[in-house]
Amino acid sequence: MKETQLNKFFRFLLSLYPASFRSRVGDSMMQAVVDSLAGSSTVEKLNIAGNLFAGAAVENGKAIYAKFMREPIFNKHRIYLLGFLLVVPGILMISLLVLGINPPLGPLDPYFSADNPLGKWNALAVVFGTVLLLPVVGVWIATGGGSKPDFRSLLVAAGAGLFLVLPLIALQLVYGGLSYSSFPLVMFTILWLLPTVAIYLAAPLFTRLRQAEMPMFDPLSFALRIAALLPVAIMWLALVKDQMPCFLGVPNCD
Amino acid sequence: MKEKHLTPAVFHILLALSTEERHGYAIMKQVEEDSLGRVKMGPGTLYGSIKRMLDSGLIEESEARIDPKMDDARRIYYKISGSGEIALKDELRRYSHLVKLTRKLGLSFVA
Repeated sequence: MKETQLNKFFRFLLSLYPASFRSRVGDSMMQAVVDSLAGSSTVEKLNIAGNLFAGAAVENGKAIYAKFMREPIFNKHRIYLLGFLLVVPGILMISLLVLGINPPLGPLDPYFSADNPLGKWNALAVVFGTVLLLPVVGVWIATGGGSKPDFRSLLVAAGAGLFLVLPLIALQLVYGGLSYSSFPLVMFTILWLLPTVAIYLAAPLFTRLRQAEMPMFDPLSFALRIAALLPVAIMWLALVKDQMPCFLGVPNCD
Repeated sequence: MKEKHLTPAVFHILLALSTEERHGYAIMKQVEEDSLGRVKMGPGTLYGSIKRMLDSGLIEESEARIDPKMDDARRIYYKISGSGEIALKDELRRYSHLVKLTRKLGLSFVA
């Protein structure tokens, strides 16, 4: 029998459940959903959809807890997750600063304010901590928690990242001159590392889209990739926008 | 030792499986009937509980077969396990004790 659009939608909702859950009861659950949908009203169908969505949120929450928090304190996954949680706010903060917006820090504000003699050093620690942690966390997300990165994909991502930075380097060399002292090596390294991490994270998503495998993606991995990808992209664009006058040789630019 | 009580969802599922093996949809319908329509479980709630009950050994998967009352699709049936029966009996005993107690106290809302 040809699967209806409605069943396809509910199959998609089921795909939001963790893989371990689907492998255990997925088929039986889909059959129960099909049985429940037969002869049900629109309101009942919406109730079923809401119930499945809420169930997926609960089961994913439990899966995340089981994977990262229930194991011993020196669990590798937990350390990486904490790294991830540190990196994302760090990237957002840097992006906002580069865009000229003071990030709303709430109770943390005194630690970074100009009145605090250590404020500048605290901000620098966040910037360097974020930049240092980013590749490590990126590899962790991309390998699905495993420790061995896919070096071939990493090389392709590094090449693609370089391709994005090369025009900017060319602009700097043309307008800023060939002087070693005036070449912003650290800036270009960051501008190269950011798209490398972003492309490495995004590549599997595009591969799955191309192979039309989206309905069976791993929701946890998808959420982590998107959560890391967006701020990285924002930060890269913000840095390029901020530094563009320097690349174009505008005098007294910093 | 602290006694572990069953959640309402787990209790109703065990009760539905106490008389015969049932598939997911049949469990949902039986729970609704047993609770006089007060407990309506969606598939998300039902299978969240079923997964935990399978993991803890309260229920077991039976073979997939056709339900003669429904279409010709094969459905996975579930059955109560030995430890599931013990847990259900313990819970029923607890409820029975509570009903006796409320009667003894003369609370008028107990039939």
